[in-house]
Amino acid sequence: MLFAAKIVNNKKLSDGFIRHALDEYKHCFIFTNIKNQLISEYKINKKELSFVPNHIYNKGYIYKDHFIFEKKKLNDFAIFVGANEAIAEEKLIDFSNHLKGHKPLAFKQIQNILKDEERHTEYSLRFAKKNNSFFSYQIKLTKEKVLSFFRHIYANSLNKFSFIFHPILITIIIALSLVTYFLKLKKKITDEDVMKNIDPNSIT
Amino acid sequence: MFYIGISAYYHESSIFLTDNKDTNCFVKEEFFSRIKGDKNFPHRSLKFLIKKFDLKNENIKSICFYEKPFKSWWEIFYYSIKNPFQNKDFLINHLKNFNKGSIFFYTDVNKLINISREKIVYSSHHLSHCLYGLSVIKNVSDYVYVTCDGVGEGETMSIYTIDDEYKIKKIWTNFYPNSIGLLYSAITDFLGFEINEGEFKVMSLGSFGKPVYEKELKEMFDVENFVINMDYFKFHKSPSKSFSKKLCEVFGEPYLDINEKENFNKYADIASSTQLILEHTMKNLIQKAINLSGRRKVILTGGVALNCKMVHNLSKQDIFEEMIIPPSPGDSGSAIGAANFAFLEKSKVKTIDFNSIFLGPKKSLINKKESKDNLFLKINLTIDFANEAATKLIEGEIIASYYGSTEVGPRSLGNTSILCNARNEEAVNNLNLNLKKRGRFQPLAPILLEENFNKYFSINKNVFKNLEWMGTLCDAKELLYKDYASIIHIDGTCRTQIVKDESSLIYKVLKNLSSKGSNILVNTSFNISKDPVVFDLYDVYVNMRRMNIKFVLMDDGLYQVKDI
Repeated sequence: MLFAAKIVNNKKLSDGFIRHALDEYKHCFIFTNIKNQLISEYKINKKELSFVPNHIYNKGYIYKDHFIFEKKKLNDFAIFVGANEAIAEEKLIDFSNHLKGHKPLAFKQIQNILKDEERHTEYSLRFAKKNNSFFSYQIKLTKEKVLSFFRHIYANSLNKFSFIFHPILITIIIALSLVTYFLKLKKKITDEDVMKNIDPNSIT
Repeated sequence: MFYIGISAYYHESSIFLTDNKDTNCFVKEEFFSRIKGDKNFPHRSLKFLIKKFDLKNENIKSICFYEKPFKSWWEIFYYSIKNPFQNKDFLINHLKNFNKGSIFFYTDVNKLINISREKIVYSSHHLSHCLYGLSVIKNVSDYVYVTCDGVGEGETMSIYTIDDEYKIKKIWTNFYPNSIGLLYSAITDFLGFEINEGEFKVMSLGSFGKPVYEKELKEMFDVENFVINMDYFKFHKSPSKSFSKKLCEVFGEPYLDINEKENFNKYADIASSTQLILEHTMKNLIQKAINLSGRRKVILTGGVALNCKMVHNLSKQDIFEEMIIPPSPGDSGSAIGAANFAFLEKSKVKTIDFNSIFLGPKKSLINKKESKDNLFLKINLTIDFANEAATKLIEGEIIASYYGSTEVGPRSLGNTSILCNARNEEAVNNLNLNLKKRGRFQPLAPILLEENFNKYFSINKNVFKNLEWMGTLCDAKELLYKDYASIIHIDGTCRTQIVKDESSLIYKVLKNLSSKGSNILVNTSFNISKDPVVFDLYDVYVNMRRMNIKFVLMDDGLYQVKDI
């Protein structure tokens, strides 16, 4: 959202993206607080729930070389946002139902987030509807929902996928271990002329 | 013609571009992706540089990667594959990461610039650290260059000398897994902090404890011969856990909640003991460097050099005549070292001339003028705006600063900072705990004019230069306890920055502040904990809104955040 705010030419839209980004930061803060409460209440190992920013690349939620806004047209971006906000809303309702009985404060905070998500969905989809034909809108919306479904399956199954390759990798490791068993690589502790002895074009 | 150095794939990715004339531009990938410590190939940073400097094959002399990609991957693999079944988890992970790593550096660059293969060169990991060290000194042959980090190309510690004709000699090396950096990271992991991010928290935490585990830690690491006892560690076996059960038998349960007093005290003792072992090791390493080279002036680089408490404690032991740690001694700063390698490789007899430590882009290069008008209200654009900022600081306001060139290292030095009056305890605590959301055991750093330094602080002159970029700690004097107690760490130290440049905006603000009854400001980086430092005006705006900061100092005046 923040990136979209930076590059869009329309000031009103830019302001809207900033407000959206601020909402998301606020939600992140609330989720972190709820997480910390759960960690301390249930004596959970905090490492297990720690957020490692770089992992969002591995899980396929964002791209390493571009932002979604760079690759999608504004209308398509609006549908992407609307569709995913609506999905997030459904998940949040489930989550807040878990908290309802025993965590009233967290439940209330999630209700506030839900109001924001509802507003984000409404704004985005209203914009998209206005700028797409009925059929184009429906097709694109369905496509985004399907893609989002598979994205979540992918992110949640990364560990399972990786096991498929384990036998191949173990075979490679065994083969390499046999080769390296006979390798006697010497290490240089000193170097009389580093710049002369280094090959700048070599990767080894 | 431009020389470009790139550091990526392992720690904070960064790029440094220079023409060795007027243009220097250092950027980190996290500035653009807004992901703290982003370690991927710096696509977005490189796109930014291509756009701003119209980069193409014709105007690029060399692009240098900071280490040898295959060597870096292979050396730790080679160690672990000696016991393939014991270490299989690590080896599988290492193999899986083969195609995500720097082996495909040329391909990654080529996706963005169609560059000739011969223009891509590769430095060596510790050599890049060493060559970055040249950015803060003039007489290269006076110094011995010590590098110490976790691991790079299978090396963990190296000692270099350079003569006046830039002939570089490596006079000693230590190898993986004998790494004091990896030991420190393993303890960071044990204490529940993130590796590569939480080491500075361990350093701060250590001040609250006593080194009661010194004997046990000396069993884990031989500080005289720099040899690690791998029975206590698992970083060669597991990609997710760096310490073994044996270490838990010594220290007890890992990952406890340090908000509970009992756990806090115990973990503080472990941190304190680890810090002591690090200091003993580094003392011996520097002594070795001095003995082997015959030079008593030291340049220290590598991630371990970021430990400013170690620098402070070593300064008191009369081992060296001078020790300098450049502002970004870790892998990120190695992008500058890599560019220096590319330059030296072509010129043979000289390196890049560095005339500033602020090597990041100017704010005017980053932002469009209209962004400022859209997001901020003009409060004072007269010559007097530094004075008005000082008045607001005296009144207890917390003010952001965003001007000049972006800093290179992990510490903001005034150009991209949040400031408050160090005399105002309430403001200091509000900034630390509520706005920055830091731990209660992490103090904020003071900034003051060089002329006022001796009133409040004492330091051994052999590390004095590092005060220009918060590279060391110093001791608080009595007067500081009287008026500025909230910035003093529990052990009586402060990570102080001095300001010498009379033309800088922070100098003017501090000068005005002095005339109003306070000599010291608190200076902390312009970000919220776990977020990258702000880069452009949109980041400034969003972060100010999140932290509820009203005013920001820019190159041309004092601005207030708009409500949009």
